[in-house]
Amino acid sequence: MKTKHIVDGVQPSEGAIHPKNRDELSIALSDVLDSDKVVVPIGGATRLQIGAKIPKYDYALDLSGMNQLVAHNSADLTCVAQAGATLKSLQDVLKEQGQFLAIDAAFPEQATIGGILASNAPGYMRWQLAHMRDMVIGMEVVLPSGTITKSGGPVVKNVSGYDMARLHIGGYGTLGVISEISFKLTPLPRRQGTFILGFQTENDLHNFSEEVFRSHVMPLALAGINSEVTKELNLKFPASLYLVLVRIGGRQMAFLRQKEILSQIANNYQYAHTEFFEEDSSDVLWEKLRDFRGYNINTSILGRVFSTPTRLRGLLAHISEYLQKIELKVALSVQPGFGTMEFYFDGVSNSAKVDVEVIMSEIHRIVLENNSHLNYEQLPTELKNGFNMWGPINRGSLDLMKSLRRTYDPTRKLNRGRYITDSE
Amino acid sequence: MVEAQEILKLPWLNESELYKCVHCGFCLQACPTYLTTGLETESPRGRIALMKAVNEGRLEISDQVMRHWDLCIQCRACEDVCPSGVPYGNLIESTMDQIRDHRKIGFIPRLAYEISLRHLIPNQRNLAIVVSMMNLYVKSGLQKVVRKTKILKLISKRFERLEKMTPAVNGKFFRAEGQLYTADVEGTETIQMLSGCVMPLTQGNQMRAAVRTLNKANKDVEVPLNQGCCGAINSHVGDLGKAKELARANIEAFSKGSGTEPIIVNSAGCGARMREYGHLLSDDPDYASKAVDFSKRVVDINEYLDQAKLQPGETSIPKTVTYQDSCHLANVQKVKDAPRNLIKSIDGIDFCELKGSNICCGAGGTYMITEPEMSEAVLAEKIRNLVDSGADIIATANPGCFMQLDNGIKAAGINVEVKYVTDLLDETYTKSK
Amino acid sequence: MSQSELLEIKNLVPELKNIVGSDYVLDDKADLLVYEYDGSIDRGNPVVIVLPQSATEISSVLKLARSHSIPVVARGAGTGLSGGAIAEHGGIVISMARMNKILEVNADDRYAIVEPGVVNLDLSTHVGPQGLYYAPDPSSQRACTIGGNIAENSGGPHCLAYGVTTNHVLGMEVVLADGSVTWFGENERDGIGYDLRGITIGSEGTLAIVTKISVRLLRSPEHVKTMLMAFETIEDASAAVTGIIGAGMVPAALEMMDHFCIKAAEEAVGAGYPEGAGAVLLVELDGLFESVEEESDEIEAICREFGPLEIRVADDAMEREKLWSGRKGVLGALGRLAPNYYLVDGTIPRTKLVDVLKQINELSERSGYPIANLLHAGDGNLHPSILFDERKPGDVENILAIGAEILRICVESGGVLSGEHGIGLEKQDQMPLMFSDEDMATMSLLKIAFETEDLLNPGKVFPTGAGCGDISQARAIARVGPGAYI
Repeated sequence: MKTKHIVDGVQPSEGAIHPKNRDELSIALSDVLDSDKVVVPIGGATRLQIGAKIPKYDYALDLSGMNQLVAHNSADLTCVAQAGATLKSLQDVLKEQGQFLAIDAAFPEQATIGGILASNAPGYMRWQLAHMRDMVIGMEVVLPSGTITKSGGPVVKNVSGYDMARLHIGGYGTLGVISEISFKLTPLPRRQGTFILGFQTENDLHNFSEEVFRSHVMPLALAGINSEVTKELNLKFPASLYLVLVRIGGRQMAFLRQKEILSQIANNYQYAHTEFFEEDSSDVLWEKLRDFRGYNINTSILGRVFSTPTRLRGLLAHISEYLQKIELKVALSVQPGFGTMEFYFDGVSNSAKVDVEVIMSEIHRIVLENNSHLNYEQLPTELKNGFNMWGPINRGSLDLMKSLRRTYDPTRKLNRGRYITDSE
Repeated sequence: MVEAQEILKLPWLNESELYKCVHCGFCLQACPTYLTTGLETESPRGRIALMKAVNEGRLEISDQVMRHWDLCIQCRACEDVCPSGVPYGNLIESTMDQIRDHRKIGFIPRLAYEISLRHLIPNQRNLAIVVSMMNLYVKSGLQKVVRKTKILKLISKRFERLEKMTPAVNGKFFRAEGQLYTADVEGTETIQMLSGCVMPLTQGNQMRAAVRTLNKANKDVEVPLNQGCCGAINSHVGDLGKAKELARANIEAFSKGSGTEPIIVNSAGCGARMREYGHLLSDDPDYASKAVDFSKRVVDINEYLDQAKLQPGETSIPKTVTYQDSCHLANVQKVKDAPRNLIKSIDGIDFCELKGSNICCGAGGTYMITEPEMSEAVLAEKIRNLVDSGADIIATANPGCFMQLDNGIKAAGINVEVKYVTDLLDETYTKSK
Repeated sequence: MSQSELLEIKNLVPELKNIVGSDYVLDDKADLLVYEYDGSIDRGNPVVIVLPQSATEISSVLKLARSHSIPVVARGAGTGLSGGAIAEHGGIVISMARMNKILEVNADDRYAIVEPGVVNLDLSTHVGPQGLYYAPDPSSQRACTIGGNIAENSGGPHCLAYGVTTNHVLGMEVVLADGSVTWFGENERDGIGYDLRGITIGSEGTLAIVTKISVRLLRSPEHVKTMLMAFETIEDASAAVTGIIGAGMVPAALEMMDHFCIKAAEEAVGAGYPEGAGAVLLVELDGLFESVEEESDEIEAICREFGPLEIRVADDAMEREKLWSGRKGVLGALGRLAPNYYLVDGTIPRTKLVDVLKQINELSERSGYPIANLLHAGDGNLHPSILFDERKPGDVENILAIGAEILRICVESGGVLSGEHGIGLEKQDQMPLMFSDEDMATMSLLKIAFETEDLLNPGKVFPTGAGCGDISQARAIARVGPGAYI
């Protein structure tokens, strides 16, 4: 037994299956005939903690053996890879041709592209404010029954038949197991760097970000982090309440011009600190931030908020106010342009004056009040009992999602009980 | 279900023109009646589909079908955006001509039509008498003729509209008597000018302003004798026979000089008609080639003045001015920039573009009288955009547009003036008060 | 549709009038006739047309239709090229012409909420003064509606850099087949659950009727530059395309025309292309001033390697318009050469351009039908146009066969059946070229999960005679596994 396959503290009762290709994957799934059995597809196991507490678990379907880059057509800016390939292995090959996949996710050495897509993993790379689903142009999926099926292909423009890949991005492997993916690629910027500003107020953070997006700068990434994150990353910056990091890239002149625009915008603010990191040091900075997924994995609580740039303002203000009131240390990271926020705190050993369940509900209430959505991605297993980690979703959508789940996986063979569709 | 043998087929003059339409739908957003109704039947593509269906014997020419064709303002904005080059103007014109015999028209309206459109408008002397008397009985006859369905229900509405549209006689009549207006300095060129039918009687002052402006451009302006209505209204309502007769008369009237002078037209609708005399008379062995030569001489006054690089006078006009494209100038004669250039050349004017300036105002010659509901609905959107533009003055290049806009502005009670581009230019040469 | 079914629908007219108002239900013969077609070559016969003004009205219409098992087809501007808006099985056509309002523009969050009948270009015109625009720009953008764009997942020349419709829609309000109204996603750029938004986009109106759409708006670029490059041969031009993409540049647009189009455009609009040009490339760059300048220098250098006959560059709006005039006038120009043209749409990997164009030319010579090639070369999207005369007996059958052959060539080269027009009626029977029975059954399961009655735009996407008609067969795919379907 591998610790890698433990889900919510549970080992698979029948052990693990390690398919090497689509046919083995198909057989593995079609061989599970007992409608009672539950299969959990696993890639790099970096995000297995997501979802409601698993009620029963029989097979670990470990895809890490399906890790080949099937094709890289650099002149076409496309590639095809097996789902079990790690993000790092893919980016390394692409980099040699001056290209990259505009998707990033924590722990790329372990995280597989299939897992990243299935679990809609968060990342900071947001060129053109695109979502990772915008990089997917084709997908091969093995249905719970073992049927191999594909849609799309290695061309960048395609409206032939339903856009099936969409179902599986963020589908947490409940409608099928992703086996192969076609991506569209992006040229690596010739130069890149990160502009850092330290602010004392949330307002400055939002205003600055808004101005950047109104300007002609095209950020590769823009994030705001609070001092708790700064501290955890061991970044040697003078204490500011918030740091804003703007990553820019391009050819030489375009790069310099963007840097200049950022400095000009910054001059309108009372910033406490500023710095500019170029090339490798900029890479390292974002890698650290990317791989920060909270504190101790067993006790950490991680919330993901989906909102819009302007709603995020009120949201952040109200949450900060509340956290101050209860004296809870929370690490916060926001992407104001993209309208998302993540927060982390220790669910067991924290200094708060209030019960952790109360905190979780109160934050949820604030999020809803600001017309936004919250998903608790990570909870200590003991806190999962009966708690709706997914947050509410409108009735019509939920009914349809359940209908899709019933249609594609009538026995709930895959990931039973974990996804939003399996909630009562 | 209509039996196949009952369906009358329209013998289309040029079937291949009809089948050039590949129903791509690019015309929809250019069509004022589609924009107003959102109905495919009131779009160029829909009207052509009905023509095709009739041509193929799939549809009879019912009152409803004719109604959809009647509702076309014939602004021809669809031609301008058509990627396949469908000659919509020709299609609707020949459709209107051919269905004239299908209309169930009573004796009185037919007589009224005969009088108004075949004898009155084409004849300056008769028309002058009528305009002077403002004989409403005769005019209501005109309404009756051209639109006949639901006539009793609609008559009061049209009557009201006609009365509103009745232009105030503006200054003395401008008569075409072969006179010559010479420029202050020695003229570089002599041009011939169309005086037309209604405009010289109701807008004499504007005609004179146009002449003065041409003189300022150092042109000698001759107004040939025996010229008359261009025939646009007749072709619009489907009387191509009369239109051809008028075309031949004008070709004769304008051939008395060197036969090469530019023919300047300050009414966009007339200019468009005259530029297409070549097409109109293409089956007339005596006039076909004369008509082609004639059409080549026709130039809109705005285009002519812009090309002549007219220098406006020194009097400033400190107003916000916008411009409504006259359909037959923009869509048929393809003149869009010239009037704008002229307006912008005037000192003091703050020019603003009117939203949807390329969409018809709903005038359409007699359309504003015959189809008052649709005409007013189209106009309403125009007036909304005009208010939004914040303009003090709206300039245009055609008497129909002038009257329609003026009427809409008065009804809305807003403080905007309608002027011809040439009126504005003329004002720059007069000393400011 | 049988006489009794026809009569049943006619009997519903009073009820429909109660729902949407008597002026907005059409069933006169002339009215129905003009809703037979869209921009494609197919036709259908709707029995009644309704023009609703709200999701509530559409919901009531759908409930009524469902209770009588009547098919319903939503229609935007009817500019589609694959028959998406055609009432293939008769029934009710819902025209979105009255649902054409821009409901909200949020410049700070950079989204707009629009009704489906809003014309694509009108949105960009509306938000332009705020320095924003809506990126997908199908060639029909002056006329086509955003609702229709959603159904077909439309692209356009500038989708090379910015992506197609699905990349620009945040969320939408839909009416499902049972009449229920719900939102798929909202104004957020990310969220939880299956991407219902994503699967509905491009589903050709078969899953839901969209009634409100939240779209992303982009900031207008600081600088735009258009370059026109004429080459002696299509091989040189294609090599230049590969060179540009390979050098790490993704221009806003990268278009190509072959000698046939060049000749036609030259005759029609006098675009001023150099004599002897076998291919013309149009490249548009936009964005930061410096970035545009640096990339255009580099592109020029790359193109010089392939011996261009001429390179012209324009960076003001009027000059750019001139360079585009030839490209935009091509379709009209083809109309001068033949009464009709059949515009085929397929995508191939960009690197296969030369080979595929050669095969298409051979096909043209073999068949005797001229084929003009107009392509979004940057993303490998081909638009071969077959010239013909619909009144000539046999022509329509022949060109359809040629079109199918072109698609076969595309698929064999690793490409797909449609880049931006959709499958609809036009290509439903070619689906098996690209998809296995299992693939198509998997797709039809999606339809089944949304509705089992098959009343929303039936008869589209799936091959005639197959498709989601047979639910039990499709379900077997989910239950039993490989081989079960065959």
